[in-house]
Amino acid sequence: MKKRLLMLVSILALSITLAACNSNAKGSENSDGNGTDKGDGSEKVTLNFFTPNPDRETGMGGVEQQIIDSYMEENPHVTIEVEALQDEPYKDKIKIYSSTDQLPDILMTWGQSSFIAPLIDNGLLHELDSAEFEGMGFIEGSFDGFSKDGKLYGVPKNTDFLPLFINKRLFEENGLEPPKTEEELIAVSKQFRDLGINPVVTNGMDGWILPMWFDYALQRETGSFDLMDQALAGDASYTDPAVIDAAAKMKGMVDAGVFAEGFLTADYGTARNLFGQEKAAMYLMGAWEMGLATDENFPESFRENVGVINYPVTDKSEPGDLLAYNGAGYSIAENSEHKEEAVKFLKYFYSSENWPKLVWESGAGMPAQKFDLTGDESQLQKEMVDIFNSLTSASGTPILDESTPEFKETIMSLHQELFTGELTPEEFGEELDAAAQKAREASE
Amino acid sequence: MNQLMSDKRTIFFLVAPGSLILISMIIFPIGMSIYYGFTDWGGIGDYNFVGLENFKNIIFNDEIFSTSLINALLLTVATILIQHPIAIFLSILITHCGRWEKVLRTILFIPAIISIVVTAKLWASIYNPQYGLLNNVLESIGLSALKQDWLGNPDIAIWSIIVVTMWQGFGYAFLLYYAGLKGVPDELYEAAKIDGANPFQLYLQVVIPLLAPMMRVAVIIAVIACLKQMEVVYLMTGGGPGNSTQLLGNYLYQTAFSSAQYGYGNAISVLFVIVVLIITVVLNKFLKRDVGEY
Repeated sequence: MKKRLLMLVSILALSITLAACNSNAKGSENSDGNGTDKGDGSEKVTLNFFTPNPDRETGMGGVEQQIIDSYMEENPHVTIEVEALQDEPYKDKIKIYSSTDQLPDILMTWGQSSFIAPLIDNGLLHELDSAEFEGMGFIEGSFDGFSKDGKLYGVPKNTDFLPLFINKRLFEENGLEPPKTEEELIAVSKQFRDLGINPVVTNGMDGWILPMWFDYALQRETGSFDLMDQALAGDASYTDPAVIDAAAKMKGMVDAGVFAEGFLTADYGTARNLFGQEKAAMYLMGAWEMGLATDENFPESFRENVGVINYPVTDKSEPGDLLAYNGAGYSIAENSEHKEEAVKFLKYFYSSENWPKLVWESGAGMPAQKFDLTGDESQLQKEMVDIFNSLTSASGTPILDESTPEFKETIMSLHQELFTGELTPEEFGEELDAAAQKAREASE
Repeated sequence: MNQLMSDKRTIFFLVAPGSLILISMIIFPIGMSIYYGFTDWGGIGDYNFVGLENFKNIIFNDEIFSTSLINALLLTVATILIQHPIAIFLSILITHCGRWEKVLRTILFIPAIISIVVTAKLWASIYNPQYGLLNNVLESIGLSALKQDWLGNPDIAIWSIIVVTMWQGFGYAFLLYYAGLKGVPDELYEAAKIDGANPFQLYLQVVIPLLAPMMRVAVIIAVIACLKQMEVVYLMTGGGPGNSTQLLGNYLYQTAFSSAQYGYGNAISVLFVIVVLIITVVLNKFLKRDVGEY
């Protein structure tokens, strides 16, 4: 008897300590679980909203938050909980959520195979009815990236394209003209170098900007964006002389010093700061950086003088041949318990007085929908609209995002190897072909 | 209590929760990781069993794996051959610094308590070819010819990384040797002096051999730390340019999460563990020599 009592007591003591641990664990699980409130049986709904815009005050994140807040005010039974992370951690966490089938109700997606295809193929995204978003002025073709086999899985929010930002003051003070052709770009870069000013800055460490630049380099060689896609699909080859020439040209531009020293180890923030602090004359970055003109972190002389031009051309191409695509958008998770509420929210979000209007007014980016000019645009925004209106042909999704995630990693590091001289342009073409081959096999 | 402990059922009930945690948190995940190493899983959805395919590919076709392995070994060897002699020398020096001893040893330990993220960003700024301290110093002392793109040049980048990891890990290496020195009894110093040993002989023939047990600990800690090193590379170069600074930890992270080749990434981690185990066994064999009591 005594023995049994002793045993019970010790087990009790142990289970109390364990229970203490356990309740802690449960507590933390609840806070990031799917948080649906069904306890009291009322119609209260909690939607989880996952976004890669952690700045909830300004820029795109600010606009998102503004719409979310007003929606919650108009619909008091809905609570929207926002979780926000930086770009790369966001993509990692999406993978973790997907593998445990716990995707948040509403999530930001990129309408690009490398990101969205695994989610669609595994039935994780809710199929949307495109009729619900008709009449909201979406640009033609902007749904393509988010569709598969005629079904729609996301709604685009931005129009992205790759221009060249310039600092007009640095050009004017040194009597230089913004470059119109690739030769002029090389020439003007040399002059800036002689003056001790960085020519072009960009974020080579992150890697994704380099293949986007390659899209332009090849288009400027051949006069069309097609060869890139054909080679990826296996209908042409990356060992095509035009590709080798384009690679040799890019390497030549790097060697000629078009890019600032250390561009291959500069991350996004470093590159952006060098340009914003007037330490570089040009900045190769997507149109989403429209907010540079209003960013209070940078000196006024910069904000007044930042401009944007089309990426320089050759005699085979037009300035309006743009690397343009509809990248980011929002999707709804298939496992969400409140799909209807989530669709309602998205419809509200995209209505013409909300996202398209607000994001344009805030100068944070260009929506994927038609929008009205307000007349209060910054000079940078006006120039951006001019560039977009000059469109003669568009690339669609950049090469790196058109295939598997593995292909994306490979093509990014191949570019770095090309620029550091570890690969010759010929080897670059061969390696690229091999990677495309592997990606085709993997997606079969 | 004796009575309690002799009852098998009680023992079972008391041990069960602990072993359950051990199994579910450690043994099971390791088993799953090995299992996934034999599949082509992408992290989401269905997968196929591919047998030894992943392992074959890694060993015979994967150049990045061998680059990262060589880099990791290079880092390990460099740390042991460069960082440790300096750490021993400085710890000897500091024991002779009298009242400055305490201050100096605190200063030497500072790098080890700074967060790795801060260290990495700090050194990335020092190396920066635009505004970096290193290039500016070289220029101001008239050595502009030595200016480099420290992280962007694939031939030098790995050495720049090695310097950072050495700087970062120096505090612990130093502390271990310093503690070892303090453990050598004073009588031995006196005896050696009475026997007519000069300071060199004293340290080379008496004190340093007595540091051997500490050296063994320090070397094993350093080897493990170097092989699993990933943070510095992840934060400073992302393994680039063009994989020239790739290390195993970072490579398997990139494969599993960025390239979405979860199965392949797990296979890498399994091979990684095997490599580390082999190195540890070999090291243990070499370092087993006992110095005896003192």
